[in-house]
Amino acid sequence: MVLTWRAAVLMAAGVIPVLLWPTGGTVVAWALLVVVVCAADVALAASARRVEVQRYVPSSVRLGERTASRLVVRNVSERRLRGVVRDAWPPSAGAGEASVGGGPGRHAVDLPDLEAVRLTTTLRPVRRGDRPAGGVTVRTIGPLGIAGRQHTLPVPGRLRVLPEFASRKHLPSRMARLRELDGRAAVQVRGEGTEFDSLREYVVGDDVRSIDWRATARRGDVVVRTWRPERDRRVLIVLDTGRTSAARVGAVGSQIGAPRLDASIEAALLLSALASRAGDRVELVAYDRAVRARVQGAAGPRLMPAMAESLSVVAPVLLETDWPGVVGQVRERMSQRALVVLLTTLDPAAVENGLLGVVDQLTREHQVVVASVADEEVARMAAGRESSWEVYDAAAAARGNLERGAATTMLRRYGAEVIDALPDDLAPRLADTYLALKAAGRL
Amino acid sequence: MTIMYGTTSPGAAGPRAGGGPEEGPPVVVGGPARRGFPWKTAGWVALVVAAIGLFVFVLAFTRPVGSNVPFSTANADDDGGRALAQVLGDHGVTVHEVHTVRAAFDGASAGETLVITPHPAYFEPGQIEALTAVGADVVLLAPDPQLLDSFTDGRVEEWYAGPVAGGGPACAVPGARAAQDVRLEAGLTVTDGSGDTCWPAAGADGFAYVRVRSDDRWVHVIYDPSLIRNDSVLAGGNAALALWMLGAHDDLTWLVPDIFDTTMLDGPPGGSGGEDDGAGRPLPPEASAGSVLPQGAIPVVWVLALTGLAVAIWRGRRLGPLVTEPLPVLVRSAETMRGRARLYRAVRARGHAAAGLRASAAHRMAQRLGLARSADATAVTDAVAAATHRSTEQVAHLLYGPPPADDGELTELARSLDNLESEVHRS
Repeated sequence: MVLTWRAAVLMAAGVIPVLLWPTGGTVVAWALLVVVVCAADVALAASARRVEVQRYVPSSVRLGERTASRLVVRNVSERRLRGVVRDAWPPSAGAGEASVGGGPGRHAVDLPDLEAVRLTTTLRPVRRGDRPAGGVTVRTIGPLGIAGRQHTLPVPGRLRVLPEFASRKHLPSRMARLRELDGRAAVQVRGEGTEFDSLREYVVGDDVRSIDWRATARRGDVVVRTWRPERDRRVLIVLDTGRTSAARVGAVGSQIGAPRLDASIEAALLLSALASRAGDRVELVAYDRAVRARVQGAAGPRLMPAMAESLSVVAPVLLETDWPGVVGQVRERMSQRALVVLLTTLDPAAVENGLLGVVDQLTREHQVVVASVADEEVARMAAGRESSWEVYDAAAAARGNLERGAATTMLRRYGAEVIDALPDDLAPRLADTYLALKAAGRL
Repeated sequence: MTIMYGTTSPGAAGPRAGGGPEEGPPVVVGGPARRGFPWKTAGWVALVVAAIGLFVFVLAFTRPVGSNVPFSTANADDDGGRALAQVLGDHGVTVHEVHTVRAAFDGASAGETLVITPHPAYFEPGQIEALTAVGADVVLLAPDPQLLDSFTDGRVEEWYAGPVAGGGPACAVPGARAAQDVRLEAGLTVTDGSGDTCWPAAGADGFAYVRVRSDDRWVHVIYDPSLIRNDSVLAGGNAALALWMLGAHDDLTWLVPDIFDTTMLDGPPGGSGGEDDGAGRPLPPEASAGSVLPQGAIPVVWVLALTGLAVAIWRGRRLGPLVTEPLPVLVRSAETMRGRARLYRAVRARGHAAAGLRASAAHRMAQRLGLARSADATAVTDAVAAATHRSTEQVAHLLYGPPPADDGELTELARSLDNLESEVHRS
C-alpha cells in the first residue's frame, strides 16, 4: 500500500471539523474516515501484480556510449491503470531521468485495460562490466489519487558494458607505419623475421643487392625481390588481474582515477587490433591465480568482438599473482616461439617476489614484453618542493622510482623488453614496441 | 521517451533501435502468488517482544539490595551510613530512613530524634519551615546556612576553621566527654555565647560540635558530616559521639534529602499551604496544558500529528527496492609511496630522504651524460662538474655530502639538486 500527498492533505483538512467540534471524538472519526477513503482507493486501484512486463535490453554497449532499456508494460488488471513504473538499474548503468522526477527510470503511465505502453529508459554506463537490471516496480494509484498499491516484478535483464577502447584513436597511425614496414622491405636489409614476398620490376632507387639475377635473366628485364615482415607470428597477451591491478591510477585531487587494469585492457585491445591486421595470431589470457578470461582461436573480424566481450567482465582480484602459474599458462598455449606480452605492474616488491623468479623461463623460449602502468601521482610527488612536507614525499617517490628502475634493469638483463608508461601512453607505447620488434624481425 | 498506446503483441512491440543486438524478451505475467500470513516474521516479532518483556521483568525484580545514596542507612559503601544505623538498631533504636520533608514531618515528633544529612542542593524556605516545626530533637549534619539559621534562630554560624585540635572536647557535654578525641573538621561559632561548644579547631575560632537549646528541644550541629560515614565513623571517638546524639531516644528519623523532593514547599499545614496530591507532589490546577491553550487546541494537535504520520508514510515508501552494485576497491597506487613518505616524516629520516633524492638525481644526470651504469661516485662527480662548470668539491658536496641537519636544509638540498640537474640537462 502507498499513500500520496493527497492523503496527507485530506488528513490535514480534519482541522476544520475539529475546530467546529473540538473533541477527541472528532479526531477519531476523521481519522477513521481517512482510513476508509484510503482503503477504498486502494481497493479500487488496479492490481500492481496483474501487469505483463517485457524488457528489451541490448546485449552489450561500449563504455561511454548511450543505449536504452525498453519496457513494454501491458495492463491485464481489468481496470484502468494509473501510476508510475520504475525501470530499476544499478547506479553505474547511468539510467536517465524519465517523465517523473525523483529518480532515474521513472515513467508515468495511464493505461486502459488490455492496453500496453512502451517506456524507454536511456542508459549511459560509466563503468565496464555486466550490469544486471533490478526489478520493475509498478505503483498504481486509485481513482481518487489518494492511495494505491505497489509491487516489484523481477524482470531479468543484463547489459554488458564493453571496454571503451579509447586507444583506437592511435590505430590509424600505427596501421600506416605497419604498411610503411611492408613497403620498406625492398630497400631494407633482409634478415631473420622477413620473408620473401614477390618479384617486381626494378625502379630507380631500389637496392641493387636485391636484384634477382635469375629472374632477370628469364624475363629479360631487371627484376628485384621484395620482402615483407613475417606473418602468422603468435602473440600471447597475459593480463595480470592480481591485487596490483586494482590500484587506482590517474588520481587528480579528490577524483580517485581508474583501476590500473583498465589501462592494461586498453593496451591489450590496441595491440590485438594492430597485430591481427598485421596477420599475426593473437591470444589473450587474464590470470591471477586462476584463468579469469581467455581468448583463443579467434582471428580476423571475430577477434576484436571476442576480446571486448571477454575483457568486459574482467575485474581485479585481491590476490597475489601466481607467476609460476603464468609460465604454465604460456607453456600450455605456446609451443613455438611467440611474443609474450605481460601487462602488469613494476611494483618493486611484487616483481622481486614474483616475476623476476620466472622471467628467465619465458625469455628463453619467447620474446617477452613487460608493460607496466605508471602513476602520474608519483611523478607529481617527485616534483614537490614547496615545503619540507612535500620534500619528504618527493624523497619517497624518488626512492620508489629508483627501485622501479632497478627492477626494470633486472628484467632487461633477462632479455625482456620493458615499457613503463602512464595510463594514456601505455597503449601507443606498447604498439610502437610491437612495431619495432616486428621491423627488427625479433618476433 | 516513446509512448505507444494500443494492444500490442510481443513480436510487434519489439523495438528496433540503433542496430544494437536485442535480447529476447523475458515475459512476466503477474507476480508470485499472494503469500499467506508471514508466520516467520510474526515469530521473530514475538520472540523480540518476549525478550524485552523478560528483560524488564528481571530488572524489576532484581533491584540492588543496597543503595548508593550518600549517608543512606542502606548504603554499605564508604560514603554510606549503614554501620551507624545497624549499631543503633542493635541497641534498640528504631531507625526510619525517609527521603522527603513530608515523610520527616509526619514521622518525627517530640521525644524522638530527627537527623538531617546534608542536602545535595538546598532546602526550599517552606521545607525549612516545616522541618523547624517538628518537635523532635534535631541533629544537623553540615546544614546549609538557611536551615541552620532557622533551627538556631541565627545563633550559630559556619565558617571553616580547620581540623580539630587534640586534647579533648573542652566542654561539659556528657556525650562529648565520653567521646574524648574526634577526628573532624571544625567551623562552627556561637554568636551570643549560649549553648555548648566542643572541640575547638587548632588556633582558629571554630568548633566541631555545637549544642543549643531552642524551642524546648536540643539542636545538635555537626560541622563535618563524615561523622556518620562508614569509612570514618570508627576514627577516634566519632562513633561514641554519633551514638550518643542519635541514640538519645528510641525512635530515630533519618532524613536523607532528595534533590527532586518537592514536598512541603508551602511550609507546614496551618500556614498558607497549597494542595498536595497523594504522592506528595503539588498539583496546582492551572499547570495543565489544556487550561493555558485555547479551546480545541489539543484535538488540532492530534490531527496535525496524524497528518505528520500520513506524510511520513507518503514520503517513506520507496518506489521499489534499492539496486545494489559491487564496486571495485579504492586504493591509490601511490599509497605505498605516501606511506613511506609518512614514515620518513614521522621519524624525521632526513638522511634517508636526502639519500633518495641524491641517488635519484645522480642516476638521471649519469644517464644524461652517458655514463655507464657502473660508474662510481668520482666519475659522476667529475662528469657533472665538467658539464656545469662548477667545482668538483661543490658537486661532490651536493651529491655525496653529509645528511642535512634540519628540514630547511633538506628542502634547500632538494632545490640545489634541481638546479644542478637543470644545468646538466641544459649543457
